[in-house]
Amino acid sequence: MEILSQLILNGVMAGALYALMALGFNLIYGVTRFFNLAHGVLAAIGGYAFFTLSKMLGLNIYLSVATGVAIAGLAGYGFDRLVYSKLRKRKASNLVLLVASLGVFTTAQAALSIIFTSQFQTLSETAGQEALSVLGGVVTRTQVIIIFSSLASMLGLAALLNGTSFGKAVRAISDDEEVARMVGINTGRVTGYVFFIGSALAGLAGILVGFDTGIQPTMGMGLLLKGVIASIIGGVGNIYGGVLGAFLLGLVENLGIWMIPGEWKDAVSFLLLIVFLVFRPQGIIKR
Amino acid sequence: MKKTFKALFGVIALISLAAGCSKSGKEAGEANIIRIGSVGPLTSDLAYIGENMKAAVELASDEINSAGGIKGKKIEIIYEDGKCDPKEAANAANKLINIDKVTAIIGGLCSSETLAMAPLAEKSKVILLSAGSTNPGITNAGDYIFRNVPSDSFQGVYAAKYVRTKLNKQRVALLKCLSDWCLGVNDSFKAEFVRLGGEIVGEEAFPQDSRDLRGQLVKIKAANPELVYFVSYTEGTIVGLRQMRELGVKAPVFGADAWSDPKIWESVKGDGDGAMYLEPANKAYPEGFVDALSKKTGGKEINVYAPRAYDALKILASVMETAGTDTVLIKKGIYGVADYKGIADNYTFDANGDIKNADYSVREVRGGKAAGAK
Amino acid sequence: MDYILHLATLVIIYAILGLSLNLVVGYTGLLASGHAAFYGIGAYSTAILTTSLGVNFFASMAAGIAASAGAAFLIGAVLSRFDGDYYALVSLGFNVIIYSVFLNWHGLTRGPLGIPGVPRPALFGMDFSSGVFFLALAACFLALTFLAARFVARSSFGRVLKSIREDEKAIQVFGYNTVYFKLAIFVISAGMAAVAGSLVASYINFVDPSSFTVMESVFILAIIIFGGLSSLKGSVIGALVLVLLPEALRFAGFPQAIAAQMRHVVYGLFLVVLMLYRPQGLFGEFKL
Repeated sequence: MEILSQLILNGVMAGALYALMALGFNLIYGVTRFFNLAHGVLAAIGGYAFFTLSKMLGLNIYLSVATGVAIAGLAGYGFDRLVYSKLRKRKASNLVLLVASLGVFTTAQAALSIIFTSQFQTLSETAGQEALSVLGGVVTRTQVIIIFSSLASMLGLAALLNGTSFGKAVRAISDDEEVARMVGINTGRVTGYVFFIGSALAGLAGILVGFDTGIQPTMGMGLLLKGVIASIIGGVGNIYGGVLGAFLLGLVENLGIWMIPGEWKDAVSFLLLIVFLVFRPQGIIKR
Repeated sequence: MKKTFKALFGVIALISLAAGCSKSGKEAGEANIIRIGSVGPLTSDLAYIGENMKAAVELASDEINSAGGIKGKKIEIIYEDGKCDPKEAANAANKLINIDKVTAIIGGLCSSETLAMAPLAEKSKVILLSAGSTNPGITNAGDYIFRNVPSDSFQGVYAAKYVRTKLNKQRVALLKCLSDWCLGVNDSFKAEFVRLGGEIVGEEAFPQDSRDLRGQLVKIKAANPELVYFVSYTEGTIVGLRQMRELGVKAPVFGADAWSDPKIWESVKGDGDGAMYLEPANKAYPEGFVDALSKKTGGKEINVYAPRAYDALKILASVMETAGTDTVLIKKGIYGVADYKGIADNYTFDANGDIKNADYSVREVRGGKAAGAK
Repeated sequence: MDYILHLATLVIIYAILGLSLNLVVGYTGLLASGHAAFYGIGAYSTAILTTSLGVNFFASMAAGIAASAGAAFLIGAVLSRFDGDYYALVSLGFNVIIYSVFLNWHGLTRGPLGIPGVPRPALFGMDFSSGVFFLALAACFLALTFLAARFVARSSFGRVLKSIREDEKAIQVFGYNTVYFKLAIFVISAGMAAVAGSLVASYINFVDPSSFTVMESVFILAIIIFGGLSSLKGSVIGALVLVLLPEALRFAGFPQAIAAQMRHVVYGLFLVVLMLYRPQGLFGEFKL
């Protein structure tokens, strides 16, 4: 019984991280409609930005987190300005954007490896972090923070999208970009801000992963894929769906390896995706 | 369109031609240099070991050259990135053998690199001496293929004997990473441990780059073992030990020689107390060596394979002092090496090109530092 | 000279992969991003059959093609209901699953240990182990693949594929069962990829899972995009450039410590610039 609760807790933790990635990915996808491979590397950028600020420059932790997240956001915004928006203006197909994002991803990841070396770094200070006993299982303080950040981000984003005129503009563009433009929304500028927010969320995920396990330049792709799977299972383009999908994915992954040897974890995630796509392609929450 | 096509083709042909010619042109004019290749992962997960070994080879080559080189000729080491990938290593070996015309190659680190390069080296009669590949398959990889690091089959057996007879553990759980090295060591441990009457109560594996072992650890905790034999590289070990502590896995841990990386114990701090592991009974490194190598690595810690890489080049050089650059003679020479006193070990090669002696010492970690176990 | 032979052989292998993928991506418009899986099935079939059972290389290649086509049939049946980004994601997912099989099914594939000692081909006493002979053999396969691809492209079957790319609903109106066509070309393409796999296994004499990851699939995609989608000639040229580029960069004299990463930076920038300024690739008719 104890094992079951632990596995469930592990699943919830994993789900919370995937939710952050899914939120960012969903937001950007809703507005731009392409599979952005570079979204993953923004997590690494966030993590390394924090690392530089906190460990190397010695800044206060909270300041470093905020700045790290902002830097990731700016990076995503920059990629959009430099590459994607130009391609979108030209009505480039999704294939082109995908390859371009692959190029951005490869370059950014390699650049991080050059600057910081390929080595793995842990971000947290304390070893043997205080573990709290919850419902028969164990969670660390970091993991609790991850859950809260994830839920807070979701609520914050929901508030943003539903309660502000900016949010309305974003939803309008998601529905139909042409019409949004005709109605007078500055789609270019709004898209840019969306990239900033989505990328910032990825950066936050990267920092949190860094605290939980550690950072490495290559950490992006894995996180991205999980975020994408979560989004699709939950219903692409839908914020709440993405979060639900993320928690479902986290739970299935972790409970699944109770039965199956642990090394198949990635395969299990994709299998879940395929099952959903076959039986319920629109995801848990329809658009 | 046709024009662009022709132009592009021309450019590419030029590049390849230039690539092919430039190196051989250089070679013709410098018959007084002995070229030796070095292949290892300079990028990829194991880059931190690869970079370390490269520094060690550099150090050895500097020392050899300042002592006058081999038979009066300077040596030049050409470094290539194997990326711990067989295709890359094969590409690298091809370039080294066919363009740079090396006499010998020190490398690879990963067994997959060495196994991919072996047929090429064998066919071209180029010496291949690995300071890090421990896959048992290399024993029979070829006549020109050598290694100065013990095969995995030794380490697991030694550990099993120690855990069973010295530590008296009966029920052990296994946690292994999914790489050729981890599996080789794990399997040899398992076979010997069971042979000695022990019981394996759980066996979990994780992909080498995985940083979340919690699922596997929960299952191991449920099996309630007396000890966990945990075979993994640095990163996996760091997260594994921490997560073990978090999840409340109380059993002591025993690891393999990759745990000699001090970075692990600095990172996990208290979580590592009581951990034990095996190390090739490397002799204590002389101060001068440690200083010189630290300078080259920019202060990074010395990995357990780096001194072996240093020794590999030195062994090669010493054999070449008598045998020259004739690889048939060099080959004979290496087979004949007996009790060569290197930095890491005293080497005697057997008829397969492996080293005969495989002695290990058990280390125990207390307060972030490893020391010999009682 | 041997070095050039070596590079040429690799170029040929990737050209075959490029051609096979182009049929699905370029002609039919389906973004298949998991092709390395079929490449891997071919390679492992040859490796396993030749080392454990002593099967002749050519027979093992036939078995590889069959296994790959079989897998493609099953996977394609699922994939055919999707298009666009979903197709890309699901095919990528299958790549991950098959890669996991390569990595974890130790009994069959020896997992990360890989399978060493894969022999070079031999037929009627003719030994292809020398570099030149192997290159000639590989070139023959490339020619065969090229002809097959061209045949498909120019046939009425090929025209249907292009119509699917342009407007699938329209052609369905005319009564064509597009699901069958999509499945068929996917299976054919997988079989061709397996040929490349058998060749590479025998060439490097060693197979391990690391050559068949998602990144490899993406590399093959990059080749055909660079060369120009739905241009067969483009796929071959694309393979030539993209295989030679990292090798040429090896000589570019970057400081050793960062040389490999710099190559990745250059490669990434190359892709971005390519997309910005010439997305149809070199010879693409498919105006992206």
